[in-house]
Amino acid sequence: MAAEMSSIVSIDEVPATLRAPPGPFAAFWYSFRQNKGAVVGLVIVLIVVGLAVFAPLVAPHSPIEQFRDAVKAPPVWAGGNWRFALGTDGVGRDMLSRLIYGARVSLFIGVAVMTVSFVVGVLLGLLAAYFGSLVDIVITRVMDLIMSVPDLVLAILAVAILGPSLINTIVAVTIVYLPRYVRLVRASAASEMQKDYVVAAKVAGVGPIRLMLSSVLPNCLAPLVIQAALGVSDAILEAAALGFLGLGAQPPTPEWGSMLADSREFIRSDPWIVTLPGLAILITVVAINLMGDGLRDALDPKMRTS
Amino acid sequence: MIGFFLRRIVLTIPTFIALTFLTFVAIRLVPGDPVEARVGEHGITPERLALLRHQLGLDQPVWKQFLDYGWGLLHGNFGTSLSTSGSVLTEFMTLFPATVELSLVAMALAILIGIPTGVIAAVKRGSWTDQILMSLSVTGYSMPIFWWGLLLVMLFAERLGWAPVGGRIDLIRFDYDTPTGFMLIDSLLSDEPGAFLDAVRHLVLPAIVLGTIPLAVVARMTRSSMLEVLNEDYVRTARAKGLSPFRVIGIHALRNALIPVTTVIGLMTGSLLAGAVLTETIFSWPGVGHYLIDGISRRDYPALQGGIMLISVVVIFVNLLVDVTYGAINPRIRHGG
Amino acid sequence: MNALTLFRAAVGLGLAALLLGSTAASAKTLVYCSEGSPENFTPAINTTGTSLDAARPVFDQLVEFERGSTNLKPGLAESWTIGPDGKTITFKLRQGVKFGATKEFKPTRDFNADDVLFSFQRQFDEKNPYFKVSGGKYDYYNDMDMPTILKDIKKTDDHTIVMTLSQPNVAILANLAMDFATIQSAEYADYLMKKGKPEQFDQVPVGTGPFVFSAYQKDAVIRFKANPDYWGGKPAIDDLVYAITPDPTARISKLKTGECQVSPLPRPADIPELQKDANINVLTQPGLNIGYLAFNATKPPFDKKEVRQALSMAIDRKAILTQVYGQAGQMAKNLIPPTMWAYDDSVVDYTFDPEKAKAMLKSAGVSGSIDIDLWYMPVQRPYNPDAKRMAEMMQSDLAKVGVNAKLVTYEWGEYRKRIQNGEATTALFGWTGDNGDPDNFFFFLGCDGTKPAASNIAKWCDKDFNDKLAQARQVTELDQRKKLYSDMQVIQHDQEPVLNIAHSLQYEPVRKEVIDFKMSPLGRNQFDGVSLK
Repeated sequence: MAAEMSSIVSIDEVPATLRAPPGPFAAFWYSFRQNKGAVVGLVIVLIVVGLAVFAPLVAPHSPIEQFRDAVKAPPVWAGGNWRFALGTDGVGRDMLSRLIYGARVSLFIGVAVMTVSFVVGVLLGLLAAYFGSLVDIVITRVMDLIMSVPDLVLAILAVAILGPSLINTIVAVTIVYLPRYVRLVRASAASEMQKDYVVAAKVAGVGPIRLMLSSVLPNCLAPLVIQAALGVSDAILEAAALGFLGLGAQPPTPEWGSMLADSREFIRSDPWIVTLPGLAILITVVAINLMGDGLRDALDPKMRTS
Repeated sequence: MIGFFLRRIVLTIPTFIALTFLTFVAIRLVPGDPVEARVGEHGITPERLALLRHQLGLDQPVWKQFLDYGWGLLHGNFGTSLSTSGSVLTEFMTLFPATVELSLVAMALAILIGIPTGVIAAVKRGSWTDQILMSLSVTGYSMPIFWWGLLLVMLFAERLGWAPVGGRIDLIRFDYDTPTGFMLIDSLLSDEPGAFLDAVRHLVLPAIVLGTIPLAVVARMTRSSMLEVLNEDYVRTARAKGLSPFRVIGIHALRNALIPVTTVIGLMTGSLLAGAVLTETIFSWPGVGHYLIDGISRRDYPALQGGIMLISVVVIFVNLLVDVTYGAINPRIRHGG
Repeated sequence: MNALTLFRAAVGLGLAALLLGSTAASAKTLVYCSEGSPENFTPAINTTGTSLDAARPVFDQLVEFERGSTNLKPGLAESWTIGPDGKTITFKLRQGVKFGATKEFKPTRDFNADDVLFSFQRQFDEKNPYFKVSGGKYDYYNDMDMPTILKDIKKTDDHTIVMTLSQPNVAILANLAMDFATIQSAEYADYLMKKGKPEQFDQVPVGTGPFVFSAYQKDAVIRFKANPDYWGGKPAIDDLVYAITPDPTARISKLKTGECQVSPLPRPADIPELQKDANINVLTQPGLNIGYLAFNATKPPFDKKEVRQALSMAIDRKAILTQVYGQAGQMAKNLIPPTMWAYDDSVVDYTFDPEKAKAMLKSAGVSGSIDIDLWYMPVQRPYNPDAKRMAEMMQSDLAKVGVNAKLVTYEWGEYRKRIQNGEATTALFGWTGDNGDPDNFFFFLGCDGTKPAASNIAKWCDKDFNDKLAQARQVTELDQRKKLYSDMQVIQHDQEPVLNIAHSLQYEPVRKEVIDFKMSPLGRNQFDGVSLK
């Protein structure tokens, strides 16, 4: 998350030279703050990040320790006790601790997918836009190809090839989401390339790498950042779906999707074991999306003035 | 217009060829073997393994298998499933209508509820209504649908008994032919009283689950697109001229606001088919999603290959249609895109 | 806004009306929530219980299992006589038995010896026109060692079949009652071959069984109608419907709401809840199976029996039984389940004792912590409802005696192949009996099984055990066999190549309106003789 915030700052710094005061970050923050949902989202995201980072300090138990004396203990509100505030799962592991550690896994997946697809997407997108012709055609066609296979089927196929593990989940989900970044960068970079300042820079002999990275890229970052923020939540959902189908992180890693899948059979007898991981996914993803919406509103000048 | 359409079709041909090749290679990279996958605890002797692999043509070099496969495809032959020995195309076509029916109804639900929701939210921008609708929409958009499906089944089907748990029709009461594979149509053709309503009852929960995310997306899209349009000069002018708000919003603004929404709807087909994998699992829905997952676990190369190809053909075709429609609505992109 | 409210109200009412539609059941239809689509309808080319169950209503065998047991009774063979040398069996076939008809094919003759010949020849005779149809995989025929056992099969007249065996074999009659030995119509086969669509033979079944196949839609439904001419009498239900429901949660939900009346393979966690349901009877019986943890005796330190014994004591099987099997398991001390006549109850089981385990490890020269890998199946098996959870629990138990177990899994086919090649150090696996004979269990610990790709995944070869195994196949005297098997159980317990974990109990929840449904120890689902209130 931290990386994301800092990149937002740096984006706004560049166009700021073209814009009037107040300072870019202040302006961004001002309009971000207008959106109450976004602020709520931000707060929840910060809490989840905090829990994930400080999991060993916050979690009451180890996420993999099995309390054989308290298997499927109910949560506090259903007659349980405070030793296991949210109850325990099918082999007696503390749900609260697993959910907290699970935040680590899910956020790690989300951020890792986002970072990799961001970097690779920008590279491929810029390559396509700069070189045009054959390079462009090849890259675009490959991306079209990926997009023509349904997301989940593609992800499942990728995991089937690579074998189920945390890292391979990330690889699979990245493959699925890469085209979105590439297309976005390619489209905005291509339109940017037509603009006078780029043409002028080209004429002035600015090298291609410098031109792309220092002039073109910063000007198409805004939509990318929005895509990246929402990409984190999409990745978390997709990874959870893989986990649900038994193809995600392997045991005893506390991944929310696989926690849910492993406990499906308890949906009648001990519903909380199934309900809580789902709720954790939902809350986290809602928070990230709310934050992403706020980013969109704040970074999109059209929306800002209206 | 026709030239544009033809050009686009021609452009998809290399995509198909590449797709055939890539799925073919990808599937063979999946560790495991179709013969091994069907052997139980009994195990299999190396001699018998070799014999069976030979019978299935799996001992041929991969390039030859690919050429054979490609040759078959050119003749409309998608191969024979290794596990059932049935024709992949036939199997796919018996399952595909179920997926299409579910997806269409889910999409219809998304459009019928999503667009009005988006319009209301846009018109009442900033109000409580807007905030509630948009919060719901964010929640819907963020929903892990496998979990959502489980909860709905538990509540509405099992606890309350309002809807059936799964399947497409009540198998005890109804027994009729399904010539089209679309249960809504077949139930009407069957002359069995109550069959249509029963088919609808079976569709409601799965369609809600599958439609949740598209619904949220359509609502959000409509809202933001509406907001943009409402700020345009001609809408302001119309308002200033004193046209009734209903006419302004309903006719002038909505018509323009829907253009981007249409695109999004078209582009969502792919993700709908993917979402169908999960929804079909939860509701025992006899569609292609389940077929593909099964194909992977059984290492049924032809079934998997054919299934992915056929689905992709549909996705590519729908995207093409969207592009073309979009081109028709908005002539500016016709030559540029 | 008003119009909208109205609209919403209308939609709401409409939905409610739809949702509340009636679900009245007609009395004569039985719906079975089967767990998956069959591969096709010819039992000889299938291996999964799902496929065999789907074909069973349509077919008969020469010899049959009594419903709900492993006892044999006459089927399409009215009687049989075994020759004095034990090597020939003569079957007298039942007369006047009719084949069911399909939309396309109407049989013109009754069942006779040609049908029997065809059904067996298809599985071994390369000249049979159907030998290669539908992939030509006759797994069970080969797994049950039929190519070696059965030397010759011929007809002496239209109603007499003579089988010649390569050597006397006690188990052949039980083999003939298995699904792969199903009798199909030779006339139908010829008819389709002439029409040039032989593959349809395996897709639209024609048999002599209690039900006639009527329709199949992949992943949705299989329909059967009662066979009015069935030689055993017309079944009590008119329509038999298999509602294909792969998801176990959905199967239970459907049973509870009455969308089906019989639902196989419930998850253990659902059983207590089902037992509380007033509309449901939960049938149960001991399963003919064993789930075990194999120690690879070729990989140190598991070449020492003390280490194997120590690990057996370090694992809390009681907790595993409760958390993995729920009520659906019975702790196993022997390889064979207690319902078998060869079971030796005098064997004393290992008890859970981590301290003793630690001490034993130490005295066996294993000090400090050791790293092993522990493999678990990625799929549910009849003898192990949740190998993943079991492995997680074992991992946690083993950590307490200083053994770090790394969990490993592969896709099922790959998993089986690798452990049978001896790649794992320890692995979860199991066995489900095919026909109720003890040899069908003990054989997998024999020395033959230690070859690569063979069934003894402990790769443990004990000469004494192996000799007794071979001896028990030749003797016909039951007491002698029993003594041999009893000795083998003692050897296995002492050597501990595998830690026997559990025999899973089978449960089958059935709605109360179903009368006389019987569970089979062989895991078969069978609906002739079943009726509805």
